[in-house]
Amino acid sequence: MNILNWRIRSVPVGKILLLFSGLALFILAACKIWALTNYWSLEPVFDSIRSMFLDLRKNFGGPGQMPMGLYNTIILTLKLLGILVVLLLVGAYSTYVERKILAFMQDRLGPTRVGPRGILQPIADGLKLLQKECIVPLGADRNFHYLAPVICFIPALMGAVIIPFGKGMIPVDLNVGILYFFALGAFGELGIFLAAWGSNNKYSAIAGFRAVAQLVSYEIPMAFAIMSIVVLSGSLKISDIINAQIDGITAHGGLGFPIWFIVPQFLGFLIFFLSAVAETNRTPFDLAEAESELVSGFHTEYTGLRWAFFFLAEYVNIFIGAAIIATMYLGGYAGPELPFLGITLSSVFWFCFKVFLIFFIIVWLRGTLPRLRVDQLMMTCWKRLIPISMANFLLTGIFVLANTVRLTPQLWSVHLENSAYTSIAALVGILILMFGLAWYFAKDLTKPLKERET
Amino acid sequence: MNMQLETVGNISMIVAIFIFVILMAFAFVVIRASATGIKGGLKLVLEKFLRNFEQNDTLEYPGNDRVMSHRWRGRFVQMIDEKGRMRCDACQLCAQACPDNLIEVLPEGKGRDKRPRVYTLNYAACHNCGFCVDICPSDAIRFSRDFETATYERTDAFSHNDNESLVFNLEDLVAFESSVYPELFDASDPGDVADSLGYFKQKNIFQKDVYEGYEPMDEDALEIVEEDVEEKEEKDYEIPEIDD
Repeated sequence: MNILNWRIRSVPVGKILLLFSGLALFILAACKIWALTNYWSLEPVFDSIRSMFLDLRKNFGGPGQMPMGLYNTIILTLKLLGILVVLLLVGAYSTYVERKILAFMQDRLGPTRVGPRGILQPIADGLKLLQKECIVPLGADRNFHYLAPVICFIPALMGAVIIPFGKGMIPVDLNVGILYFFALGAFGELGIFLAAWGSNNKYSAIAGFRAVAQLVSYEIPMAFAIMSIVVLSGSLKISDIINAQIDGITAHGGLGFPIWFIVPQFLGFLIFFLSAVAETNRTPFDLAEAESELVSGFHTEYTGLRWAFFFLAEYVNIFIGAAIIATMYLGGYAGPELPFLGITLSSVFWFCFKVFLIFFIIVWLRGTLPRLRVDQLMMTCWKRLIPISMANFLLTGIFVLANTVRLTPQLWSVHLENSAYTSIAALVGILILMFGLAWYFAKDLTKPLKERET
Repeated sequence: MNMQLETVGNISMIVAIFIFVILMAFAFVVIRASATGIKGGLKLVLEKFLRNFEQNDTLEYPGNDRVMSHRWRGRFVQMIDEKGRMRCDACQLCAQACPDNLIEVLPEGKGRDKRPRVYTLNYAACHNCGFCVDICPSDAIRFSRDFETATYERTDAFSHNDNESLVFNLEDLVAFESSVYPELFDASDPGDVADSLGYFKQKNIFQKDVYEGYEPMDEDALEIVEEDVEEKEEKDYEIPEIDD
């Protein structure tokens, strides 16, 4: 190893990306051909597990048998235990993955000492945090201080029940799934504010105020991005959103042709991605836990296991955000069947692959961008993202209306009566207004960086 | 009626495609405008990431021994020539050159057979100025590349009996060229296996292979540089010409 070769060799990123995309196309074609050959796979294992549960279910609910509620309780308990284990593993090991990726981006090696290549580092961290003393600062609001990590962690766990881990593997397929995710995002922020308030620390207090302001701002573009997806798929249900991307049409709506929503909603994808990064308090939007200004912000006064709960909640939230992005824009578990794995396992693989891709981009942003100022944060949201997301939503609405008329032209008058006659004037008015606003606020985006107002 | 339905469908399809194109154009404009400052940084970071998969510059130190540069000023060694005799002829020049009086040499024998009986070098107080190495006429005392000279206790470094002591006597210092301490030398390095320091001293080409592009400045080059500086200083006072 020639360590004295200090010159940085340039890496042909374009060629590498081209190579990878070519490789990906080849693999996709190979998978398609494989799926036709009908060779053995692991699918019968999952089939037998499913039939086992179906057999178990026959013993419940009938006359002289145990009540159906007991069966549901057993199944739900199993599901929740599985989610808990998966989430704790994901929360622990995404710290490891992030540290490794960041280290490679910064010419370091990351954790290497605990286990081969530092693979046991999260476990060592957890054991260390278990041993540490939990300190409550003098004059702090003890109840809030105790409660805050719990309130932060519980919504993170709750959010996981709507995540489609694979084909037919949604723990609870709520018919308001996306709304549920949206609501829990607000709930988690309460924990941050309680921690900030209960710490009796000025830095934590500032961090709490910042966190709430950030949340209130970034919920709006996020909601508009979600609404665009709901308009496209015609449903709030997670499985419907995925099916609308795989099959193109569901019982409630759909575009009529299979397409991942990142194509018609690329702008929405960007908006939702930025908002999700801001919601989980990640760099470059990590104003609530700005290490260099606010001494880690809202968890300055936390030690030991309580601090670990905050940390775990953050990473679980990132996982959930990435999973929702993958679900809404990248087709969820959709993907070609892989050799030997079977449909179920390959759907799990594709889901994990997409989530990792999103996670990598989030870490990549963290490795690249500096933290925004508070006013820049607010300006990005109110002046840029909200007008753009509103315009995006309205355009999506018109697009879907036109598409629906195309699908069922015999019902065009009904469609227009239902939607257009009642609101077309308002729509056009708002459209012009939104375009004007977006143009007005976004016009200095086209200038070079030095000439911008802020 | 069928014609009408088809027309409605076609018109709405055109409208849908039109709106879609507007959406994509809007997205393109927004991304193009807002990614001006970010794109380069993202690309650089990705390049770093991909490069470090291939080769990371960080060495995991206790596992892999780092081979230092030729110019590294590590622990001293007393060289032994090909005939197996010490090069040092106990002339005491190093002891006189040492600014801190850390070297003590007691000779034995006379004439050409004069060799040191006792040679003590208190490396614990040494600050590696290299005067002894520079002044040595027979090229006997040299720097090695050994940098692992730390001790657990301060007293260990100064004690005369301990193996880890930094007060070196003759036995600690004596070294064959690249054979007594093979771990200190890079076998793949021709300059290291040969009589490296003397060779480089004679040829006056210090580390040209390592510091690529380095060339010692001769006097002509220095004059040229000075002329350039003078010209620049003169030019600073001139009024720059404006051309459109």
